[in-house]
Amino acid sequence: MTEVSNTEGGPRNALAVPAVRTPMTPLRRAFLRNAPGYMFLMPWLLGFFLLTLGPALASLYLSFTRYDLLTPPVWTGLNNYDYAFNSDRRLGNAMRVTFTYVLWSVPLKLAVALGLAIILDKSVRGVSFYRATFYLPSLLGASVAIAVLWRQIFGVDGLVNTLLLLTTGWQGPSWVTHPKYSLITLIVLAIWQFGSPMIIFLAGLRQVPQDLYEAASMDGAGAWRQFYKITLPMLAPVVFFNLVFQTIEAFKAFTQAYIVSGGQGGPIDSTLFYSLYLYNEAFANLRMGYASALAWILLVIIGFFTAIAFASSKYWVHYEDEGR
Amino acid sequence: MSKGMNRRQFGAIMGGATALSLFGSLGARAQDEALRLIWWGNPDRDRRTNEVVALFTEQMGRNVIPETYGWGDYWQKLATQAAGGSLPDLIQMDYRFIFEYARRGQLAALDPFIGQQLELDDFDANQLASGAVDGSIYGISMGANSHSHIYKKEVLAAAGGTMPDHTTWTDEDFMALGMQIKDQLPSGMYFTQNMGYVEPRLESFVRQRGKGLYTEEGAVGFELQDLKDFFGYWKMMQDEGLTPPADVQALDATGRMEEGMIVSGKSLFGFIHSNQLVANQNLVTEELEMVMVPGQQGGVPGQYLKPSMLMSMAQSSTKKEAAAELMNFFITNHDANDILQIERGVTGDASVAARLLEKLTATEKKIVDYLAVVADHVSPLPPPPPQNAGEVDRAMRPAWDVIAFGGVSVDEGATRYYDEINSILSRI
Amino acid sequence: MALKPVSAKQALFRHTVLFLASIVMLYPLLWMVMSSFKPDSMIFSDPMALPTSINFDNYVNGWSALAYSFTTFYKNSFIIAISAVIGNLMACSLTAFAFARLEFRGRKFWFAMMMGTLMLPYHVTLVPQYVLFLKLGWVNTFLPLIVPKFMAVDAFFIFLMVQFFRGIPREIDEAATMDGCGPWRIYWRIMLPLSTPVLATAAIFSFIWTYDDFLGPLIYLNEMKSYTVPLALRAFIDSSGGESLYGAMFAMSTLSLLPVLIVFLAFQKLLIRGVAMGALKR
Repeated sequence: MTEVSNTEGGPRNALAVPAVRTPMTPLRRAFLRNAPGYMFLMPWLLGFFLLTLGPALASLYLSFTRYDLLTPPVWTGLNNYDYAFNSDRRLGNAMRVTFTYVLWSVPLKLAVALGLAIILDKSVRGVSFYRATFYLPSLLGASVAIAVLWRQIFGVDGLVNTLLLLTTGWQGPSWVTHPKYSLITLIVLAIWQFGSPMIIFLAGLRQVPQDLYEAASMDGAGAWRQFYKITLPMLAPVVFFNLVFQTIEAFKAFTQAYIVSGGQGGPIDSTLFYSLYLYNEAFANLRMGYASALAWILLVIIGFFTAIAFASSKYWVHYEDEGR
Repeated sequence: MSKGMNRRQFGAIMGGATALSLFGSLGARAQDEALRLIWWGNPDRDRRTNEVVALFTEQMGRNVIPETYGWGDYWQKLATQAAGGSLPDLIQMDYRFIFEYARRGQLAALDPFIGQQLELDDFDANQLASGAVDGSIYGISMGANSHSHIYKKEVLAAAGGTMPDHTTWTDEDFMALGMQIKDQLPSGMYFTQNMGYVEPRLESFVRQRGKGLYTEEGAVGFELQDLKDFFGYWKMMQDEGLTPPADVQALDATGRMEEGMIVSGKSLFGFIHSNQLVANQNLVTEELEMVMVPGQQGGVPGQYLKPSMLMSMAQSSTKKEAAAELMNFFITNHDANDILQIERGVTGDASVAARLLEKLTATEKKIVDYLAVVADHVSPLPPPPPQNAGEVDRAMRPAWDVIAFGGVSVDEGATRYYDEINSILSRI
Repeated sequence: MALKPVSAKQALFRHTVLFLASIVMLYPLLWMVMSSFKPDSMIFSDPMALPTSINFDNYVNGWSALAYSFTTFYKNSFIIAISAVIGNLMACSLTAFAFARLEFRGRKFWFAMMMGTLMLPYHVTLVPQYVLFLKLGWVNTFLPLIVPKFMAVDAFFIFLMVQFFRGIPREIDEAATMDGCGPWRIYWRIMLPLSTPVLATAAIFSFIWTYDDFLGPLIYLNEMKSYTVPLALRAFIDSSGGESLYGAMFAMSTLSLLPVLIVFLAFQKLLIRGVAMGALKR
């Protein structure tokens, strides 16, 4: 199935010493050793320098300016950062909302995704249907329809309240527009769209060799033991990936809050996600300089948590290509 | 031979895909001579505008590239284009933003064109003045509107209420009417939507006291006590059960009409701008009537006629004369306005307005009649809002909600908001 | 596939969980579909009511309600999405292979840079990137939406593939090298075929996310005839207080799910087939 031998003859190794006599200086050896890596990296390097680094550095510069998009930026030094750390009450609020959102939505989303992926991994009747069904909500993405839907479910006359009324006779509040509960509805929305991490877990589960499970069953291990001893460790790289990525995305979350709250982060800033606050500062209040500063602060925060994740991964994530 | 040609295959695929994507760029170059027009809207307005654009091309022989977005996306797109110096030639503007853009030099002064490409002899002088910033005209009003209340005619009658004379009624009359009929209203429906967070309503309120939202110099135009009275009135309305509770009322925070209290059947009275009547009526089965905003005991008229939206020109436009012709076409051309009608508001051009009168539906006639009544009960236009006025407006909702949800007392909430207004205005 | 026979109790438990979960997942969508058959006036005044008749008006009207019909919008969406998939698969797999399998100076540094690009909120690089593309003359074309994919700008896929590549034992590479394979052949002949699940995953996500993206098209596409489906859908709703066409929007939203759903259903078989890892054991 996999072709591992070179049957056509010819040069045995693209990096073998060429027939031409050029001296193998250390420089040349270094070049030859690094060349393949950089060749493969070329498309990304191009993109990074041309498309990402430039704009990123520009935004860093802008964070030290006052820039309203309509007139050229004006240098103001550390003013933006000073305001952010010392005077911006709403920013503190936005951070609290965002941290709460990350802390709740990420673990729950991953747990649901993993749980359902494991159930679906066995041959269950109708597995294709279920898989598609669970993924369907994620397909709606940033659709305007979601905003309306969410209100129809969590609004004062919505589905949740109708059910509550029927079963307990209690009239619930308008969950989605009540300062105490609005964030919860957004957390539920995040969990509802667990399809992406679930698919990734499924792909990861597919790579766990089945004979491991067979051997374990023959040794008398039950389902939970198999889960702890086989599934989880084998899945560790995938769990790590999902954890890191979902956390980053949760910190950056914007669209759901934007469309459900109508762009205001309300009521009373209870759904004012960090990115939503940033967006309003940039495009509604025309303070792009300040927004840039906010973006870099967020970058540092996310970077910090990601670095922790990577550092900790040494202890619980084991790759097949050990020795790196 | 080793299959090194995989690299070539790879390269071929890359090249092919790039070529494929280049198809998208073909045709983009051909439009250099054309004018660009941008507006925010909805399917109905888009259809009418596109027809007018086609008509213009037919009659004047110049191509126009239309660009349209939803309201929320519009300002982000516009700001981005402005940052890149690539604004379209003609821009539909909102009353709040036109001052931001004009003061920062993004809009062209239209005075040179008035009397030339812009044939505005028939145009209402007040309407024209409403597009002025610091002495020059930066936008032409595309239609007038004013604040108003709407209510469901049959429901009021069925609850045993009668509407007093709307040109003289006061806040007390309003509350009294509500107290009288509130128990006869259908289940789930309250007397009125709450207006404690509706800045235009606050504006009417303070104008009735002879003040305004802002002074000429750009400072706050009213006092803390006015704000306390205003918030106090609406908190009382909420406590008396005349308005929906805070969390239900908050459902309309998105600004979408469908989520408003009138359309979702939760209130009898609502606040709208006059040109929103048709859209509201389309979503509701009961007939809607439009009346003036209640005044105050011993107060002066608080309403005024303002532009629903304006048409402006980009300072960066390289085809200003041609753009002025297109602008004129929209505002004064009879064929064009037969298509546009009063979807954007009642036009300031008298000859067009007279001509349109016969073509209007019953609901649209209500708007025209209403504005005619209001015109007799207005006070002068307010000065242009200062920088950050938009932010003050946006901050009103959370400020009100804290009071409405019971977090703070009226006095405390009013003081906080008043301080916040001042701090927003002083922030550069 | 599990060979252990599943007890009836386990199967019942599983099916109950799955069934209940499905209802929860599907209810909002069902509401949307139901509403797409109702006239606008009924949708909000009577949200729970079933439509009185299955009326396709919203679908028919919605298709051509905007200045251009949805045929145009779907065509645009597909061109962009498919190009993006090709670009992502090619560029990101190359990059991931470099990070996961090749040794070179600065590898850790570049990896950290790559992760960094994932963390920057996009609203802030938006304007500088726009100015860049404006200077290149690419605004109002599809180029800003497609060309970056060929330069592996979607770090998510790089990261994803790196994780998967690292799950493949190195012994295979070593065996191949001893047989004379260079890095290209290892990549092309060994790594890619073994990575079908992750490539399929990347293809699905790449398609769906590009298809669903509205921010990029919003900023870079000026004329409605170049709009993609999500951008067109936003034109139905007017939150400035004008008239919106909700029924048509729901109808078109429902329809817009179909292509992504089909893509998903088509590719998920690749996820099923998986890899017979047994053949590669030491």
